[in-house]
Amino acid sequence: MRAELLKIRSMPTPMWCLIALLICFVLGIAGVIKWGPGDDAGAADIAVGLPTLIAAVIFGVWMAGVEFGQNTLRQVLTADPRRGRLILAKLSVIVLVVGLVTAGLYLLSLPVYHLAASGHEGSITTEAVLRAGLSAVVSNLAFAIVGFAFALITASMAGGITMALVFIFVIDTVTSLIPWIENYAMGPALSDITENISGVDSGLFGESVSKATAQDVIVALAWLVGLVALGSLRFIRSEVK
Amino acid sequence: MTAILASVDGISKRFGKTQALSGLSLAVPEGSVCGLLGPNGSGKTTAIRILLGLSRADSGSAELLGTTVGGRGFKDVVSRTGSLIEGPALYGRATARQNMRIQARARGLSDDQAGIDRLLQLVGLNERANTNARGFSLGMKQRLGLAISLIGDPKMVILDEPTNGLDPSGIVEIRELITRLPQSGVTVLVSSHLLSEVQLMCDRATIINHGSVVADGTMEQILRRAGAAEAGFLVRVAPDEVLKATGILTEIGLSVAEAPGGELAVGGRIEDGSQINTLLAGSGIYVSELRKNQPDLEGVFMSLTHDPDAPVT
Repeated sequence: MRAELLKIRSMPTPMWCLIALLICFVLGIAGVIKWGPGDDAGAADIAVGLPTLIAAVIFGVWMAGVEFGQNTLRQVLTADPRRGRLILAKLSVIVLVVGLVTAGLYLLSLPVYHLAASGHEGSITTEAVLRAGLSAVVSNLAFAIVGFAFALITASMAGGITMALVFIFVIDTVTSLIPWIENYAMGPALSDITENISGVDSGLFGESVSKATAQDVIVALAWLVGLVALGSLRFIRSEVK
Repeated sequence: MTAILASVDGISKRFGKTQALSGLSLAVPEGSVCGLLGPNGSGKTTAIRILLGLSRADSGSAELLGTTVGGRGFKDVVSRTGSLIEGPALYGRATARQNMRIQARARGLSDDQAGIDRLLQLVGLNERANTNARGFSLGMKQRLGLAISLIGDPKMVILDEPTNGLDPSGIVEIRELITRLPQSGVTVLVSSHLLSEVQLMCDRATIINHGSVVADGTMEQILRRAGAAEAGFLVRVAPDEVLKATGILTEIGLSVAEAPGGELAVGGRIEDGSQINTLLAGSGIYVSELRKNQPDLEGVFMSLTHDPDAPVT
């Protein structure tokens, strides 16, 4: 895990992701000063939630894809050949980094955006931001893991990001539109869970479902576990070039 | 008896329709620098990958530091084995030092335990330690790859074409580095297509072709065995005296053939080159050059890998 953390510190992709997040955060301040904080945690959702979601997918893909992109897998596996352990170490780092960065930026937005909104009528409530932040942590983790799994499945950085985006924006959306299986698509299940946490209807998947059910949690987890298992199987069984 | 630190026994490997390895066996004794030679596609890298657990053999077995590859305890064994396979695997945007740190942490070692500064100094990269690896020349990347392979004082290092892409001075540096390794208790298995380099740095070699061993032993054994037929002397005389000299030498039962370069390759029951000189001088023929016809590894390699009827030893 320490080697994985060191890679994050040494490589440019995580650094550029963080820079992009900070730029969006600063633009958010400007937006709040100009137009106010919006309803609920609207400003934080746009300036922090959406950018961290995109960064989470990229970071998830990068964590696995960097070894394929740099052709360093053989070096990594001759230092420690336990492939399952490597997957766990990378997943742990994803959870740690995505969770901390998302939560950290939402927490930072609380005083900063509150101050920036002082000239406007609306206000940013602590509860709304905390709920939105927690909801973002859950969805960002899920999408980062999807990206990670697809990088393992495709054994490629570019392939991973392409397939992850296709899955999130096309396959999952189409699946959620098919009557017989809509209840088993990941997007609506995840949406129900995050809406329940944030208390805000995203309107992304048709009618609002205000209450996450145990089935939503099971469906979302099943997708994540299934994708990671598929990627792990491919990764563990394949020969290293 | 010298311990065997790495061995493969009858391993076979097929990629689709291509039989990469076919019952390959080899052993690397402790304290040796062992060369693995073969033409492109002969199975050298496949054998090395199998030995390091990166690829699985279809049949046969492999052992590294006394542990079955992929078996119990293999993890510890691999982390005590340095390797450089098909060029250095580096994180291009990370510096030389960061690259070494990443590999050290993956083995659970701190900078000091891994000897990062010492190794960077050893390969002459201490002044470029904080430069991104992608800005390095191929030679510098190779040297960094070699330094990484030596992290944690490995008992054995496996190097696949370590002098690839290096200029002559770089080749000499790497060769000297490799030949010094056994002095610090490191056993080396090195594959290379630079035969003269292998001859200079290795004390034993295994030559493979089409996935099978065609020669194996100490360098001296290989050269002697394969060169036995052509041992003898090379004699240079004036061009207009070649026929006369050939006649004199064949008359006493020696075999004479014209060697490349206009020399006469003299073979047969003759122990001392001065006998040839005396014989020819007695007939008024001046010998301008006389030397032992010692086969080099290149000649042996060509004869073993290009002759379909070459005997398997």
